[in-house]
Amino acid sequence: MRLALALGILGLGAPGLSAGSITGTVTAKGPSVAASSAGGEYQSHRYSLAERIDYDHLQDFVVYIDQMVEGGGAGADPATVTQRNVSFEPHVLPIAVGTKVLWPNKDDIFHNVYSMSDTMPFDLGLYTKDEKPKMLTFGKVGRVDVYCSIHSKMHCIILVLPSRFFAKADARGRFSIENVPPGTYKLTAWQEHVPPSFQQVTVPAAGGVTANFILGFADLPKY
Amino acid sequence: MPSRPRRLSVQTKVLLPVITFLVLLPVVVVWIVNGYISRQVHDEAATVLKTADGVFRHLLDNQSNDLLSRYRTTLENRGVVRNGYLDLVGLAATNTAVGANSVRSSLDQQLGGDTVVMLLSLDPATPPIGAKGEVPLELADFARASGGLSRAALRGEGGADWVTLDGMVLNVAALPIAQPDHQVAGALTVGARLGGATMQEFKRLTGAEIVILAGAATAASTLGAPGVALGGLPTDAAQEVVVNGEHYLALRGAYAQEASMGGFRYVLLSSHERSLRTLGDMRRTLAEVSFAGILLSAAVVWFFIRRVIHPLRELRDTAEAVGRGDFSRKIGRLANDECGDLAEAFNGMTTNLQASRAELEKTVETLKATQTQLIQSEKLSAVGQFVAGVAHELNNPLTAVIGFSDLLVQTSTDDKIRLHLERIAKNAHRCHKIVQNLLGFARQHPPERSLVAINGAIDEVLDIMAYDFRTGNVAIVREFQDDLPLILADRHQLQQVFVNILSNARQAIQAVRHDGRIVIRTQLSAALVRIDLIDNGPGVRPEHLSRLFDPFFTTKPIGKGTGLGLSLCYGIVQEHGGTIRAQSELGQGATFVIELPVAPESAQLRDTDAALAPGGRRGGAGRRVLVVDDEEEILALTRELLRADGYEVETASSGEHGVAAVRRTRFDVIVSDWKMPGMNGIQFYEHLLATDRAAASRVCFMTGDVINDSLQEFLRLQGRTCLPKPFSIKDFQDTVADLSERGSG
Repeated sequence: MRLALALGILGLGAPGLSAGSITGTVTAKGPSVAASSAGGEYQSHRYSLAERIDYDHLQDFVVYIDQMVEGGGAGADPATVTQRNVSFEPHVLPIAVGTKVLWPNKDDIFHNVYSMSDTMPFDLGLYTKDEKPKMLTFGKVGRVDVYCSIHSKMHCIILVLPSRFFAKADARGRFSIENVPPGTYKLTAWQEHVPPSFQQVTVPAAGGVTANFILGFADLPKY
Repeated sequence: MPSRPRRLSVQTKVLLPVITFLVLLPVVVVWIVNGYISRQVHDEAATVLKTADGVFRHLLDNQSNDLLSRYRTTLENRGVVRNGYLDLVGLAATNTAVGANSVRSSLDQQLGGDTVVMLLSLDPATPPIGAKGEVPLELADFARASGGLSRAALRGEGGADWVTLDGMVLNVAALPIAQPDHQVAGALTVGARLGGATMQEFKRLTGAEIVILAGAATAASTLGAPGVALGGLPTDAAQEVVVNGEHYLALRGAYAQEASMGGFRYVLLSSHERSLRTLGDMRRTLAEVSFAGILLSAAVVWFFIRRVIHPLRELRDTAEAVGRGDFSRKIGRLANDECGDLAEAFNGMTTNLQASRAELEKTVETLKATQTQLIQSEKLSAVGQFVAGVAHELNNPLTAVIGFSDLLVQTSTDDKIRLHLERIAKNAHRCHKIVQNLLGFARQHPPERSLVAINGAIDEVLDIMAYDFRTGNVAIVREFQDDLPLILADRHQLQQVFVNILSNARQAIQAVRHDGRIVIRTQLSAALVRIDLIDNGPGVRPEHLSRLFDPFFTTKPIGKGTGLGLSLCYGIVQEHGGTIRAQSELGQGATFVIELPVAPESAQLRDTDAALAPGGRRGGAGRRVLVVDDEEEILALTRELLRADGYEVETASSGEHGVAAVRRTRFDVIVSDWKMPGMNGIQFYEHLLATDRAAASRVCFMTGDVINDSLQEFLRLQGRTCLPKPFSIKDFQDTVADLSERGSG
């Protein structure tokens, strides 16, 4: 595994050892406070069943370069999604395409991990922690929603990305993508509950570029 | 103001019923409206409750169906989320603790919201594996309660029902878990609690408070703890209850689905508080409005009654005043209505009353005067009667005095004695005349018309009044026209006229002077005889002149005159077709002028003939005369007189003697007194008529009394004559001579 990582780093550094970083913040913002508090249709009974999003406490922001990048292939090490306390950990797992993922069951009860997504449908069947964790390789870019067949509330998302240049924002929304080869990229910010957003960023040969995202419905294009 | 008996005023009489009516009306209206609205409110609430009941049942059904559908959808879902129920069945079938735990954890994860319990059954024999939320519920109890549904689900028939369990109301749905080949592998039984939120939703939709009963306890309630045992309420009838101090209309019902083993009872409560408050408000408002209305109406009625009564009171006061005799009181302000008319009529009445009363007072005074006059008149009448009686008594002695004195005059040779005798005769004649006048005046005369020589009539009056004039120092100046024609009149009435005027004149003169003078002048003017009576008295005041002839007008002090004298004169003269008028100037004396029409020519002539009839005196030699009289003097006188004429005279002192004499002898003339004790003149005459008609035809009467109507009538019928006593010798002789000649001839 370490070898693979080293290979990857080498591979990245190979074009000329020049690399930049992309840093910034990503946050979500709901509709204007006035509009929401004043009611409006959103507050009406008609939308009572619509999902209410707590914009201030959204987690699991992922920022990634939404295109193939030279030397951005997946590493050899598998990622892991653990089943513990009748839930998946982590809830969102961004991986570069081709990454392996391990599905260990740490509970005392059975789980049945499956996905019916178009990207990667699978069904691991019922198994306990006593059994060997199953491993899957995600070879196609896309979003894979994973569930447990007997625990309807268990859900995680495997975000299969085109390159390994991605970052999960921390609790305060800060992210940093290091060692990005210089160039101009389409940088996308993603969150499970809000529409994604992208920016064109030009990564310099040295230093970094800053990209800030505010996700939400406020800046949706008007049709 | 006199005190009246206590009584209700008109104001009270009108106000009382009006106010009673005004009070009763709103009371009745409020009572009716209240009853009506109460009924309406109750009915409405009951209807609302019925509707709510329907809605509630529908909601329960829906809730059941929802639950069923939800899990049916979940079970049959083959979408993005795969249901792992078959996995669960498989795990359960492993019959291991891990498997069971896995199932339990799976079910546990599905709990939430109202869903409080879930069971997974494989077959009826195996106890189901279940999970429950934090509710005081035993899974075993639930499994038992929902056993039927679960078994049905295991048979492939999903279903839902409501059960009450441990003080909870649960909506239970059981569904079969089928394998792809539709073979039932197990059953899922879900229990959803009828929670507070749902209850509130139900309350919102039904519009009623809902209390769901589990046995005697309250399983769920929108009211909190009702605090009242609602289980005892009758079903199908709304009833009022008080819960937590609030009024509700309650309807109890029981809910159970078909072929259910559960079901529960519930009570729907519709708040009555607002209706009651509204009702109360309505009542209060109505009462207030009514009260205000009553006050207002009473005030208005009072005001109007006062307005109506006020004139009535004034009318009453005025009527009382008028009743007391105060005619000056008048009702002043006149309203322009019936009261005004009444007041006007009343004023008119008062005026009329005043006039009537004045008239009445005058009449009473007149009556009093008349009465006085009447009394006076009666007195006079009595005096007259007395005088008549005295005169009659005097006549007989006078007849003797005259007769014998006349006789003596004729027979006396001595001149001196004859002169004396003539004086006696003259004075006896005068006495006779006085008596005659007295009789004539005192006598009641029926009005009769005869030819009257006015001068003679006046002389007679003057004779009667001579004494008065003499004593009153009044000189009478006669200025008579001698050849006056006769007038057709009632002699006595005319004489009364003169007496009245002359005595008035005498009295007037006597009061002011001692040299009174009355000139009486008679003259012919055209066809009228005019008599002027001129005195030199004080005269008449001009203002009295016009009223001189009014009845009861007198200037004499009360008791002295009646005021009737001149009025009577006026009446008499008028009746005779004449006129009487007075001329006077104060202090210059008064003149009364009487004009009377002259009698027609024919009457004058006839009288003249009669007057000219000669009464020759003839000798009575050889003739026999019987004189019947109770007075010896008369008998003696007549005997003397007739013997002197040559008659053979026999006398009888009574009728009986007369009859005897006639029977004995034949008489040429029989002279009988009228009034005699025993057989009187008429009886004597009638006796003769019966016994000796010839003798009766030779009878003549004499009387000292007045020749009254009945006697006159008698004489006229029988063709007899009557000599009034006292008679002159000549008259007597003439009469006897006439009779004897007729009898012989």
